[in-house]
Amino acid sequence: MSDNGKNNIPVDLIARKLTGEASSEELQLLEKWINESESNRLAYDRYARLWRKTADVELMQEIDIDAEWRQFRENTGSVKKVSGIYRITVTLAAAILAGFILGYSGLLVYRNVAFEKIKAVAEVQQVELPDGSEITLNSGSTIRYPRKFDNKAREVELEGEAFFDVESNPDLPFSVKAGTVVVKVLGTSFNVDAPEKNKAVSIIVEEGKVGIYDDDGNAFVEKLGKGEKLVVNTSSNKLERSFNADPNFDSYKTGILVFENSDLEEVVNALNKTYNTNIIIETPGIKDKNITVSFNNRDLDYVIKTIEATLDIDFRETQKGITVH
Amino acid sequence: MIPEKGFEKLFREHFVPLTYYALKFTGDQDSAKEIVHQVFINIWEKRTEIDYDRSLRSYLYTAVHNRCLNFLRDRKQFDGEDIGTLAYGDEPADLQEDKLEKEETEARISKAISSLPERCREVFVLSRFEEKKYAEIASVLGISVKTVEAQMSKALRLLRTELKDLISVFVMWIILRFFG
Repeated sequence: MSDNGKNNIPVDLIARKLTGEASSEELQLLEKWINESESNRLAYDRYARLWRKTADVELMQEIDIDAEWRQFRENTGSVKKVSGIYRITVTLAAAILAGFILGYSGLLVYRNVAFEKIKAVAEVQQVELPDGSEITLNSGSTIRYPRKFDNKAREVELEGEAFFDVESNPDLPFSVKAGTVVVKVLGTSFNVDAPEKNKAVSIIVEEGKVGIYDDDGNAFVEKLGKGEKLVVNTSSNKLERSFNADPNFDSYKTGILVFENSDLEEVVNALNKTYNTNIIIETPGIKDKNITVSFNNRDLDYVIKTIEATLDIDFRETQKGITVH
Repeated sequence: MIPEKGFEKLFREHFVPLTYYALKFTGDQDSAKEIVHQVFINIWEKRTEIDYDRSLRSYLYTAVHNRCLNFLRDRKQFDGEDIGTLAYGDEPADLQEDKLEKEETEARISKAISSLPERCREVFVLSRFEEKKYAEIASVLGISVKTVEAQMSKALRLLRTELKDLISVFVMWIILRFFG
């Protein structure tokens, strides 16, 4: 039963047979060898079986299990390290983890023949479009665009929030479709926030002008100018037009948070948006507490500790999530 | 309750097969790995509540399965792709033992292939999965047909050694047939 004489097994010949490379002469030669002994037959059968077993296998890239384990330890390790605010640390851990995993490709890029689709899974991502326009994609948001723009228009689709810095080109109108709302521009920079389907889509223009339409091409507002903000309620089609008063609307892009005499409610809203958290103010009496402070690219832990120390309040992990007392 | 040491064993034992399983849904390995990491983090957080027994393996696969379906659902929402034709059911599956065995076996084979020396793997993959002839492989990789042949044989020998126990089941059968 043994096939100790491994060196005598004509693996080259077996390989030729399995891959269909063998000539009829070679097949006869192999047949003869197989019939010489039971151990020869067994040896051949093993290779044949191996060949069949590999047929339907999905191919993987090699996984370095030590590296994956180290990564897991790092992340769950950071859960332990930061004490006190469990939920926050978990959120951060998840973000760091996803960031690490995405480190391979930077982003989740779904390959498709004609379209590129990018999701910023856990971190804000910079995306450059084929025309040179730059998009800052907030975490959890997805952008879809053609690999190559045609010669009529530049159209992209957004789910979530992104800041657009559009390369000027009067011959090629640029448009962003966010659910049922379409923002059309020629060359400008603006922010679109379309959080969930059938809710409000909010557009803030930083430079230039944009026009805002529904998906049938009817104008909501033909010209929205610099510094202006439009909120479209996509279920009622109600519009709210104003000048943007929120200096933190693009904090996820700039990393800068500015609070000037801001009350705690504003602060918490800004934190939730910038850090993708769900912080709730639990004690009603503290909502009006004011703070003037700015943060430049600080992590959430640092920001929370600073606010806690300044306002004499408490961020806590509870069943509901992070609550403020 | 999962002891901390047991957790590492669990992770090391199942990370690759689970990623392989997820890959079948996601089609890309980075997403698959991300999903598996999420499942392990989730279990880590709940490790005091979970029993460390055989059902844990089934739980792992079910958790990965469900997260994959969510992943596809999210993607579908955006693409309008039809995922109704997927080979896997829509409902959270209570995965059967024999299915788990099959997945783990395939994952082992896949891992063995991915661990082949680079040139060897390239040749094997081109031949086995892209069904290219030796001459085509030689021209694609810029090597001689002789080298292709040598690398192909090497791949088979290495896989045979690595997967010995998988293919020896057949030996048992032979023995029974002739001597049983």
